[in-house]
Amino acid sequence: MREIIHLIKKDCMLIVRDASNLVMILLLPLLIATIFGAINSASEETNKLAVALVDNDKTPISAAYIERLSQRDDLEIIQSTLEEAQNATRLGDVIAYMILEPDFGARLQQFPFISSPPEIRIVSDPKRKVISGMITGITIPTAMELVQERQDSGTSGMASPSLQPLKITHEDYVVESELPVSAFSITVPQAALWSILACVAIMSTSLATERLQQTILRLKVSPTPMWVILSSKILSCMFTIFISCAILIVYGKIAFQLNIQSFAMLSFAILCSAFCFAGLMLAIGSLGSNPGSVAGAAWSIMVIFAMLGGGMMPQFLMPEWLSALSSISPGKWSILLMEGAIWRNYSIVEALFPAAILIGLGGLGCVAGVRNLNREKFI
Amino acid sequence: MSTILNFKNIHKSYDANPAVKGVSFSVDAGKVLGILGRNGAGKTTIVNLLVGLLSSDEGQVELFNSMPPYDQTTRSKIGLAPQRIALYSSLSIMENLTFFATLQGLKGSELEKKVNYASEKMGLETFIHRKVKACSEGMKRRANMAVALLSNAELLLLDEPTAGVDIQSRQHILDVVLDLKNSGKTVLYTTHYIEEADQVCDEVLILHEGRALACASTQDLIAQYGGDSQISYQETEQGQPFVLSSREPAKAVHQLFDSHSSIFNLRVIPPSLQDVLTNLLNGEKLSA
Repeated sequence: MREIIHLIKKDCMLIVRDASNLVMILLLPLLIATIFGAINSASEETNKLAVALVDNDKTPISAAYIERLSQRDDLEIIQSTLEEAQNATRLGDVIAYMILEPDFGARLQQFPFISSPPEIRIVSDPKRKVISGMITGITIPTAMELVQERQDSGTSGMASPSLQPLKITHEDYVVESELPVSAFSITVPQAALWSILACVAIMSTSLATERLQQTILRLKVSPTPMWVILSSKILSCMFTIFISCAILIVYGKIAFQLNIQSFAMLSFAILCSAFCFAGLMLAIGSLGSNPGSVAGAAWSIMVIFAMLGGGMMPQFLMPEWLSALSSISPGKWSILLMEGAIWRNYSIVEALFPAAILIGLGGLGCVAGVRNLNREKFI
Repeated sequence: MSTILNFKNIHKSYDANPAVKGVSFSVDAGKVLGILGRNGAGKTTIVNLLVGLLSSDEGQVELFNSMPPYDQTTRSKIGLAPQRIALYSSLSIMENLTFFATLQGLKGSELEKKVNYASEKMGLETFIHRKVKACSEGMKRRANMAVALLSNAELLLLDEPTAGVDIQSRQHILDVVLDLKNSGKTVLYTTHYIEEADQVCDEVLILHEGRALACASTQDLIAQYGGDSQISYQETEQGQPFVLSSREPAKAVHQLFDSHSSIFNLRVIPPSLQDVLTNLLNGEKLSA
């Protein structure tokens, strides 16, 4: 019995004394519990679905309908012109835009004594198609409430509850271009992110192996300056990321006729992402000298970033504080920047913000990694 | 003769645990200094302090008249063979040597020449294309040391280069150290094997729990701390062996012959480094 206790104690000590193990077995589950707990328990705080609304009708009835939609807890209505709505959808600021057609008010007033009900067009971000169904589920009952209210006040005919008061048409938002958006246009940035995460895990493990085998010691003593050694570590990670993304894109072009709005922008997006994740690789790789636990820690941290970045659940399901926190996830900005190049048609100015965040996070990672490596004791 | 390395009153602790306590020594060009001590005596800490991987809490380290952090020129004069096998296990010995030679600033035919020199010197030609992970411990050790020979280093720091190797590989490594000494290189050689220090070192620093117990040439150490020579003999061919201790064995042997009509199986065993170590450690125990 005594032996068993000592064996257990030894294993526990081995786990606790490696910071990278703690990331994997404690930090990751705690964050998962916090994130999912926040999503499941805080329905009142949940992010509203941001939807742009273009009122082409501009009648008191359309205004009353918009007012009613705005009062809902689950929608954030942003009244816009068509151009503004398209732009907000393109940039990913809203998940969709709705267009109330010019005869919306008149038709709704005549409901149900008309052959066809008033029409609302919902044009959604193709990445968030599923959500347009949720918007439909909100818009129709709201219209019904409005109709019933008007009937109660005698301003409308009697409605039959079995009839739909609105006709909803769904469209995917497509950037004005000769190049169609394919399903692969949506999935390629996500696949590229997974490839980047794998590169980070592999390269940080390789750095830990260098520390374990003391080859890093040999590099430090060589006449080659330390900044050259660390820069080459970062560059080799960036190069690996760049090559893996390039292979993915070539595969997309050949197998799925992937269309890319701007190759230059895509290269810029991958470059920024590569720098960001190479910096993180340096920070993670300097966490410990046990390659196995560093690999585990790398994957744990990447999963946390993927979760926060909306890679595992839609961000609108998150409470506001968590949604704000997701801005630290490089995955979110990396995907957005790649989408900007592939189908969102980002301008240089629009790309600068996510690019700056990626470069900033990469810089922080580099500083943390260099500090850890310089602090290292060789006993 | 110029002094290449100066280690002056160095103190170094890891957190609250002192690893090196006021150690001082210097090494002249072309000499081999052995640092002899048990595991944990502070040998590797001294090597890491010397190359600038650690900074001392107190005292001053000087290599080629410069202090750490060293510039590129000073670092190019150092060849290091760390205690661990600091090689990329998935790469072949050749790939490792080529990579580390590149970091020394070598290229083209000069690089090729150096790689060939190092592999030949360490007897690695037959296994040069073998991956490190597929090599025996002896081969790995030799490859580990071959990397230190790639540069035009004036000073070679060999941290327990024979740890865990077979007898043949050990002798090969010791022969190379002697070759290096003969070609005028300065070597700092850490070991816990007394016979190795005895075989290759001009001077030996005896380290115990972070303190330098003595530092001198092997002859001086033996003369100063080795104690008496042991003289064993028998009075008859099958008789009982007798043992005498004497500071002056020649005189003692003369006296033996003078006082005995016949002497059989006479043997004089001079004091060795082992005796130096034993006496110094016993002295340490007594003073403690």
